[in-house]
Amino acid sequence: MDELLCFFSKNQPRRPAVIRQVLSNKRTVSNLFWGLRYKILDWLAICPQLEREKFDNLIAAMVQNKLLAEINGQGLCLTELGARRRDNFAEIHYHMKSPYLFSRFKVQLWQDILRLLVQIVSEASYGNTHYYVVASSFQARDSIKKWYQDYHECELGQLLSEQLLLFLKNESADDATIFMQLFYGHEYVAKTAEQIAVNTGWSTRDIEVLWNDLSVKFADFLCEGTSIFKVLVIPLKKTGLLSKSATETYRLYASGMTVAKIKSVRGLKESTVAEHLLEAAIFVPNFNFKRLISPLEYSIFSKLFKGNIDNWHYEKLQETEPKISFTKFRLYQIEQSKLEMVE
Amino acid sequence: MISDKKLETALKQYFGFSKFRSGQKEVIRNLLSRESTLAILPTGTGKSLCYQLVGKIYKKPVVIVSPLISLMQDQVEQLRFAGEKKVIALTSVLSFKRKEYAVSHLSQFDFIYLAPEMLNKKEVVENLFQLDLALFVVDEAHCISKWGPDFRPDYLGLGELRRELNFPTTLALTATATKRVEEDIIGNLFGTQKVKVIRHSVDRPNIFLAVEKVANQKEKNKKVIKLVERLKAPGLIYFSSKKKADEIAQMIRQKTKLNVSSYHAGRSAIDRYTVQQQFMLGKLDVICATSAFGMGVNKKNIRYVIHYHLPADLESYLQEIGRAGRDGQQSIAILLYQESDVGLQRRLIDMTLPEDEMIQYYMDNAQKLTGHAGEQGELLDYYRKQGLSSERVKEIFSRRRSDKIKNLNEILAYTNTHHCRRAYIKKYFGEKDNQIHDRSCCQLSGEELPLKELKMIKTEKENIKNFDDNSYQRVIRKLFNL
Repeated sequence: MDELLCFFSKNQPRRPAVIRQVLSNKRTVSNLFWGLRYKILDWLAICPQLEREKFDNLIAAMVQNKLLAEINGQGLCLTELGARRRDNFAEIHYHMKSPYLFSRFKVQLWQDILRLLVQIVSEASYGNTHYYVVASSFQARDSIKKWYQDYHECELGQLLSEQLLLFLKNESADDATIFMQLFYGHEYVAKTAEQIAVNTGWSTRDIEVLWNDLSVKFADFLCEGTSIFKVLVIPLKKTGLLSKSATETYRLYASGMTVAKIKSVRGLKESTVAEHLLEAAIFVPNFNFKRLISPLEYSIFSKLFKGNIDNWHYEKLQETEPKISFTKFRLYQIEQSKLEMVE
Repeated sequence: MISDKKLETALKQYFGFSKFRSGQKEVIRNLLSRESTLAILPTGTGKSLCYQLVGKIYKKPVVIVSPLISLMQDQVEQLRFAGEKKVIALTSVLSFKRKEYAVSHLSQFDFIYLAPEMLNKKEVVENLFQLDLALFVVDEAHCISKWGPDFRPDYLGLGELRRELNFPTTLALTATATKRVEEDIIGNLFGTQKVKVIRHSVDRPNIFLAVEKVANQKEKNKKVIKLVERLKAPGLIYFSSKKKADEIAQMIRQKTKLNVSSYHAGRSAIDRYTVQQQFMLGKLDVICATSAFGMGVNKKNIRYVIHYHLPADLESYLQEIGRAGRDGQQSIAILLYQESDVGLQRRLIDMTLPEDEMIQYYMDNAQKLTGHAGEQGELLDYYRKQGLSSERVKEIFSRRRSDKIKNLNEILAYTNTHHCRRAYIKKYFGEKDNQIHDRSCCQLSGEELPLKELKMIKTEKENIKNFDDNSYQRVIRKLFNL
């Protein structure tokens, strides 16, 4: 329960629904925008199985324990007690360092492949062919089988150990040691998260989070490198954070096509194209906002809207400039939010 | 006729063993002479090796019908471990794509494990017809008997399937079967055809039998701690509830220095694999498990099996305690009995068998409920599809309920007997009562556990060492032999 406290704030009461939808990867442009505002988009899709009922029960328990409090009927904010609990939790538990990688890789499949990889390379290093293969999906087994056929003549043990040592050098020694205890190999049996927790004084959940964090970071590490293991990870890397259809819309936009042209080429409604471009504006670095917002519109926006971006309202714009669309207003908010983050 | 020497050479070649265990050679000889066989061999006698070796010798596919996914997966892993690549388990956990591929390429596999529900699928049966089988195997054959505690309706179709497959040589395997169950298996599977029955005693003389009565839960927990601290390890403690298995594992961890873990269907596949491997490699002193653990676990030196809850029947009790002492060394089976445990078993019976009211409701609303009524619903759906009336289904379940209650009463009687427990078991399974009771046989009601006499108390040296805690660099060097 306390794990969720880090997503709440003392002064933004509308967070609860956005938190749930970001964590469980329920994408609407509105959710993504507010996820961006609350700086929690790195956690997108970290918990795809999170059910609404379970989440609501946790929230209810936090309210009951006075960690969260209702603010003027608008939503829930952290109380002083909640903030202390959040800080205390962060101090004694493992904190995920690269949550954003979760939406970049097919995590479950990669973890299966990684466990298998370490096991088969370890057994091969000892010339052993008789062993119980670690529990894993068929997809993972197929993928490893094909890879092994191509590379079995290499010095696999040497090469994999080099990659692991290079990668783990940048982690704390304790984290690295725990990570390596979760693998299986020749006459080497892993420990369960529960057993490591007993030995280290951490919680079982901490160990699971550490495994998720470091295993995906290792995938990213291999992806960036040139080792023979890279080919195992590349097919698991998601090409981008945009949905398939939004990717196509953005491709056309980036090639210089106008919104009107994209609409006709793709046979989409203008509002759908607008949604796709807003999604792209949120996720794509260096998105070209200037093609969609004219200099005059920039000037109007900058005069009208100052201060906390959360408090800008489209209604205020409509009072004086009823022809400027909501999409342009939101694009401006996104651009300013991104600039604010860079600063 | 293949000579003994040749059989032993094949055993060594394919499985690395130099000697057959009791009963194996007899079964294999029968099968090689093309005689269908019902083998009732106690746990730990290596029943699966019988059909695996025959398949290897004939170099033709073997089809094995098996009721439990975990059991099938264990056997598939064991065959793979022995270097057999062409093996598949067709179960509900297989992905659609993989299943589709496997079904249309059945002839590429040497060992085909089938969940009984797969036999209702037309494409599976049609592809089975194309195979030139070395053997048709029905594992855990007692599931075919409506008198047995693990009756599976899907198993009833196996006799018909055998006929359609033109009566292939068949091996029916079970560890425990009363005379009545034996007759039921033969009737259902073989009809009037000739079949050889090989029955070895269920008795395992090296396992001391004991029942410890306790007044309440607190006393039971104290007893568990006392036992696991004194008894030679490794050991197994069986539970009827996953939650309790976790709870007691936690308690043992807190109160002793022992390495303990829980094992049940509620844990992830990766955790189950880990716990099983740790146990096999001697890293754990004790496992707190439900019946999900054990099928296919071939660890020779398990010294004790404790039952925290009263088992449902003597058959499953015998199966579970049979995991102790496979190395032939002195071992012990202790059933902890608290009077209220009977209530738990009765509740379990109620949970698995639907009441009349529920049966009627299901039969009246079957269209709406199919696929949404859980295990009970599946069972009811089976009978509905057979075209049985609600009254007939109620009758069947009422009989099943009284059978289960009767089985429960049998194990209760075992618990409460004032006579030799081993003699009681032998009698129950229809064996000759030739038991001569002595101090190493079993604990009679009210007697102390003779752990010292049995040499079951561990010495300091025998404490299992803790896991090595190494730095990650050392682990990497060890993993990759550097």
